[in-house]
Amino acid sequence: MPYATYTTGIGYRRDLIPDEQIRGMSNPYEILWDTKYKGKIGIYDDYREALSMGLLKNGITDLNTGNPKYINEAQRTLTSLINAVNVRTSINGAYLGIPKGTFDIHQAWSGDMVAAWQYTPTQNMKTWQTLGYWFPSNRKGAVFNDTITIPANAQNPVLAHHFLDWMMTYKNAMLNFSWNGYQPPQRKADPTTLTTTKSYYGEPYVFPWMADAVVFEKDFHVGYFEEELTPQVDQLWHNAWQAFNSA
Amino acid sequence: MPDAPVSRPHRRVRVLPRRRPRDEASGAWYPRWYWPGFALPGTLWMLVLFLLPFYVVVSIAFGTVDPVFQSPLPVYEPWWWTGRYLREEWGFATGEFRAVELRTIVYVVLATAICLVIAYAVAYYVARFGGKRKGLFLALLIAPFFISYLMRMLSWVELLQPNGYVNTVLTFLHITPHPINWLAGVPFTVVMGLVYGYIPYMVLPLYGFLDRIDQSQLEAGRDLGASPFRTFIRVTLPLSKPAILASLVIVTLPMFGDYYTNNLLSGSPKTTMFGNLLDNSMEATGQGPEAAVLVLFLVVFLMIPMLYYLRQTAKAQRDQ
Repeated sequence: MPYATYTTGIGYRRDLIPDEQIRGMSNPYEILWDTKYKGKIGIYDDYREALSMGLLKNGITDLNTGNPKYINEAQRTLTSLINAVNVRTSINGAYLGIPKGTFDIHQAWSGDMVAAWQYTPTQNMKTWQTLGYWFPSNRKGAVFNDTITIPANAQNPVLAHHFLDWMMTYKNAMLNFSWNGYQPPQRKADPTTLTTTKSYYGEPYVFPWMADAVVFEKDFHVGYFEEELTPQVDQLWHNAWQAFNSA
Repeated sequence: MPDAPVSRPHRRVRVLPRRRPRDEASGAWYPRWYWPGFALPGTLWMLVLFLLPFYVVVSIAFGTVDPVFQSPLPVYEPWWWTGRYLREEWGFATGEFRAVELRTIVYVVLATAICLVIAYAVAYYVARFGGKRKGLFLALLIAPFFISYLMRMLSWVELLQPNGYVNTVLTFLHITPHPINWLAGVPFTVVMGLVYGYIPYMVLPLYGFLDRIDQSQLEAGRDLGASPFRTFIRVTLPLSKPAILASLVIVTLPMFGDYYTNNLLSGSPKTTMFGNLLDNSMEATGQGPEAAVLVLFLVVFLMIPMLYYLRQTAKAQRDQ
């Protein structure tokens, strides 16, 4: 069952990097290489996500490529981040590290940034406004749809289906969205209203200055999916990731 | 007439009844299996929780992966083993992983050396000069064990934040004009993290040994005209060599496989340790055999200090 939709873009501190700066760049992915933010830049500790970012920066849009040339170039691109900005890898750097000031810029899933306001040191509008998210305006970036699955050998499949039904109700799906920031693919949840409709917490589901984090159905027509790789191609990706980590 | 052969008297061999081994101390008799029986729980433990799992690791390293789910498929029959993953990872281990391997050795050696200097001083002080407060000191030495390693590291993450207490104090005292980004891939932070995390494991064995050193031997050194420093160098230090070796082994072996200290306190490829490469393989789908091979490499490498320790221990026992 489709559970959560999200995109992969760049999370950043709006008090340090104005929206216009990143949006005005010809290739905004290059902000990750900006030496001005050395020591405060992070990417996900995930070989697919990190190398996909390298591919997109290099202009390669096939995020499932098995071409060793592209994969190795993406690895070299990532490796150049080490000396350029002393990049760090983390899995919670976007939603936790940016609000706390550990990172100024971090590769980010849209859901992480939507929920990041819950982790600011002080809970007020001023600090929430320091959180920003960029995704290509033409929506040509990495897009995902996580699912909930019942295994074929589940011990309680009926109960599992009841749970899915419960999760699929508009009320519960949106309550969950309020908490974890990951947008459910609900027909009733009009994406154009998510920046104005109030969530369980009394704030908009998505803050208006983070409108890039809202996922639209059309994103799945123009965006790029990360699909399962063949074992041989997966090995190439993994080797490239290990090479980056041991650089 | 030749002499009649001298008939040799029959040697009467008295067959003694099979005697049970005598316990020399108490004079009591015990069946043969009595004392070896005490080793049974430990032997079973080793078999079930070490040798068996280790064989599974070996079987995964020389096995394959499920073609659909990419989960590791151990091959238990050695005649079906494949060396494919071993060859691949050996290529990496002697190639692009070399920087990580060297870095790991440097970090571990540095951290262990710092641990030894601090732990020895602490253990020596408590053992020699603890006096009536020895119990209190011991409780303080054990105190870190009440908090999990992970929690202690996470505390450091908070303390070392750009706006954390460490930077607040340093800037307040004008030791540094600007906050230092300790968590931005700084080798010093990782090494100190290792020291902080593992030092309690070194203090206790050192204390246990130093506390048992016969004071009369130290007094003999002093009576023969040696200064306190010379007595320490010529008597205390050589006597505590087995404890130093044991504590080095206790601390060094887990340090080589450590990955979360670096993950938490750095996260930068600049400080990647061998444990991180292993962790990356463990986390990735379809990389089970690669991870198992890296485990085997680490085990083989760690056999070197382990064998040295065993050799030294055996030598010390022979010399006694």
